[in-house]
Amino acid sequence: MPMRFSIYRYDPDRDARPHMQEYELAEVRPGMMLLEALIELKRQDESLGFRRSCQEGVCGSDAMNINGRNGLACITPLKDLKEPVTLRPLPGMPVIRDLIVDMEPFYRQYRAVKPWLTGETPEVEREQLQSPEERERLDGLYECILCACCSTSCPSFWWNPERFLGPAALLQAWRFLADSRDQATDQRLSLLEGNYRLFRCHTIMNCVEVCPKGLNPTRAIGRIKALMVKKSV
Amino acid sequence: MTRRAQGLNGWLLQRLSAAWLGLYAIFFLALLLVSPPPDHAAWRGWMAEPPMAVATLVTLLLLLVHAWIGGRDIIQDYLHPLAARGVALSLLGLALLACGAWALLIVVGVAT
Repeated sequence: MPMRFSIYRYDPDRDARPHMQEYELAEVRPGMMLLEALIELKRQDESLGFRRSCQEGVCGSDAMNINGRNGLACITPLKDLKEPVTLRPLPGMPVIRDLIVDMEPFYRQYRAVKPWLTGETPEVEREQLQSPEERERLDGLYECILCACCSTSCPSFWWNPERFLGPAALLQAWRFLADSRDQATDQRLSLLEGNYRLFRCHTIMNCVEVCPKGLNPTRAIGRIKALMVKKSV
Repeated sequence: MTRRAQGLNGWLLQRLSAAWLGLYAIFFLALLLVSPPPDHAAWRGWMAEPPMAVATLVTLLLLLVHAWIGGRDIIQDYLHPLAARGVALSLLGLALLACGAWALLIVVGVAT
């Protein structure tokens, strides 16, 4: 059975504006994933641009907008998709070419939450042990692969990408706040104060809906707010 | 108010005011269902009771705060040019203050 695709094409060097291009895949094999289809389509048309790497939902390179919903092409089965399968780059991001977006604004947000352990100065030269319970608090947080599916599906991120940190960075903010070894709680919380960085989250929960790893940034944001309240009383 | 209603404070105020508004609405509806005032005089007498008048005034104040934070958030989300945002925020503030003043006159007029 052939399958039809409609793919966003844009080469800033050649095109005045983006357009949708139709493709047809002659044969869909059972169990085929969307990324495999894209690789076959690229054999037909070598100019088609998209990112990929691990092909098993671990690296997060092939995040894209699939029939209006963000996801990873490599773990999206073709049989679940309605035709024509409409593929667009992640929304709200600058397009480099076709399905390839500039991830820099997203990484800038990630860097802004200082995603590393901040401990005693000078740093201790021994292992910093955690109890199993302390380690358990990081479950559902450390698994983030930074694919940007969540942040780029968030309306607050679309309207205020420079000032709102977005769900992915905020999930990581909580990941370090929740870490028993981190000692920069007050600095981390004061960084998130104000009207924009954290509080632009209006609990729309698109982030939870699309996360390919099943993580819950909205819950993490709620926990940051609860910790702020606890610290301020 | 804007400065104090930023970030965490704004978020908390919005939630606390919502809780009060929800409770007041339930209480008000329950009263109407259980013992509806038979006529206008009874209705006025009911609203003129000091606990009811005070609760209504608190509700009005919190409704204004709630509407201000919500409206301001929407304007901050969608309206980016500074001048347009300033005008929209001022109009919202003035409209809310006018509503508040009018409602205050009504409640105080009934209660005195």
